[in-house]
Amino acid sequence: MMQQSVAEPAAVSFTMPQRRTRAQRILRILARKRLMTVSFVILIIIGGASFLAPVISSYSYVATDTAHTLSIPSSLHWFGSDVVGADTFARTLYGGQVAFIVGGFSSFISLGLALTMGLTSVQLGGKFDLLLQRIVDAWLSLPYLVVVLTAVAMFGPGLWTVVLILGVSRAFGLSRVIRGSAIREQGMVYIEAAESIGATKLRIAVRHVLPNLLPVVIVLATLVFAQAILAEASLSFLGWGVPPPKPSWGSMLSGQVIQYMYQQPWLGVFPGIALTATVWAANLAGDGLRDILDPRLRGQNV
Amino acid sequence: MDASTKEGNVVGYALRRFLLFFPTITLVSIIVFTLLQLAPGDAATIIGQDASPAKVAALRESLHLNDPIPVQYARWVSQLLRGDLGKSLFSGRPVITDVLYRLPTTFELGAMSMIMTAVIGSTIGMISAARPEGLADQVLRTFAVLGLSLPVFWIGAIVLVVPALKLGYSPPAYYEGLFTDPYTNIRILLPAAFVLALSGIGRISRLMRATMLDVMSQDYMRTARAKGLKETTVIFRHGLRNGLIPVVTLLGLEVPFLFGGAVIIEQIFHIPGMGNYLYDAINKRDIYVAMDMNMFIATIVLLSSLTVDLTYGLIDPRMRTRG
Repeated sequence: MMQQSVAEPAAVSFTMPQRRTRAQRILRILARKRLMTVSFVILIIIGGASFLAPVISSYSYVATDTAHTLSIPSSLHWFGSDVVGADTFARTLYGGQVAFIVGGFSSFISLGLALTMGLTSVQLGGKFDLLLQRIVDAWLSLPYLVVVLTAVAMFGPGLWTVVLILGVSRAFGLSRVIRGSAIREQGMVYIEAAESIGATKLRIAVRHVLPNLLPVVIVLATLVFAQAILAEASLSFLGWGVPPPKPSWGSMLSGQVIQYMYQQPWLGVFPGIALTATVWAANLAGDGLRDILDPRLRGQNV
Repeated sequence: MDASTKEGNVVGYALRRFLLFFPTITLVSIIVFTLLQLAPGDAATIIGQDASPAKVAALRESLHLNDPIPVQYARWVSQLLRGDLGKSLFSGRPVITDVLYRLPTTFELGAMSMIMTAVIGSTIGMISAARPEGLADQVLRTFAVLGLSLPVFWIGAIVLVVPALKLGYSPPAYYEGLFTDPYTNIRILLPAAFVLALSGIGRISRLMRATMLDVMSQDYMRTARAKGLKETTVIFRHGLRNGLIPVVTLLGLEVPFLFGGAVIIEQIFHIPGMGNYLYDAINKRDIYVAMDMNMFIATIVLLSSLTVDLTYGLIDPRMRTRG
């Protein structure tokens, strides 16, 4: 699906079985990789419902219903209500918006930076590569959640601060994986061919190596999407993520809420399920894509 | 290649790997220092929030914040090198006192969690690899991915709330040290360590499965079977021994995850460890403590990966040349 199909020479084409269209090939893959397909469907449902929140739910995420606080799921409040009587269903949907925005944008930033770092490291090589790799080593010795929490606390919480900090922090580790794949491509004959006709390093990196890294990038993007959502929820749980009143799945399960869960356990059920289902589905989808697109990465934890 | 050069390679590898530690830790200190310099406001404006401008200026002078940035960096590093982690902006206590008090708790939590990760993770990986693509394998693999998808804080809350509501059981409300009150200590740390181990179990079991499948297809396994050894002997004596080597490396890589998870789990279970200390410092914006804690944790992470790499180099000769 990602590779350009190679046109067969006309002379042998009649011996080939009839070529499937791109749509048919994608359908066959989806049918064979059922777990991955289900995962994508789950992601589409949760993501779609989140962004359609104003259509699906008549409640806003801040409206309080003081007559029904800490209620169990009912026809009035489908997922129950919290301590001030806000509708948990609406808050879970709007929390999904935060999760998908943070996951999407921060993994985009991570991969953009990681590609730049990885490709320059390989193309320039030598001292530059050595120095950059030591910086990556240094960065990786700071635990992800610890450094992200410290940074957010210094710059102050906020949706776009979180997106930026999660995106930049994760780029260093990813650049290692990209660098590894780029080094493998570097040994290929087509690079030698490009060099022999005088292509510049920039041209080789962008026009030749980059397209061949696309499968790796797609797999990494899916997995990093999952990690970013989990990290945002952890930050929000600690009170340093997306500030209220905007709900986040993390803050819906945070410290004070746990105290109320002893009175009304339903409080913790739906945000937790939504968060786990999203991260689980994205991870499974990433695994499925990895099997199809880049089997060499199998068994690696990125 | 004769024995002496081989010997030289081991020493050379160990030395190269050891020397790498110093530039890396220097870069860590620059990263941490820069990160905290980039923040708007400085230590003086943080403690002197409601103070008059004159008082803030005096504070800034006493904290040496008017010195050029490189001088401030040099002062911080020279303090670190003397083992002086400075004082908290708020409590005024030396950071090292608090760290040494809290280190054993987090170490115990981390060690428990690491043992669970290693034992449960490699067992699941082995079962998975025994019949690849079988029913057990598919189910276990899906659950391994669940392990690394579960939010620590949600499972922590469930582990606290559900037994309290269904069985009327709650872990002790106040933490006690392992040596002052072992029973209380274990009742708090055991569930916390298990929750902390979940994501590691997911990662280790996936790696264990992959390496066992790789080991199973090796010639020495076929030879062992051909000699007529029992299948259990083949798997445990020949397979497991080789399959565990990469797992040991990955366990070393679990250390940063443990610190990240400790920040959350110590919050939920009210454990006075390092994660809790860092979190308190961050909430108060006690930037000196935050800086020192980042540095301290990074040093532990680097030292553990150095240890793993050195042992690995000694165990597995193939690694030496890769440097």
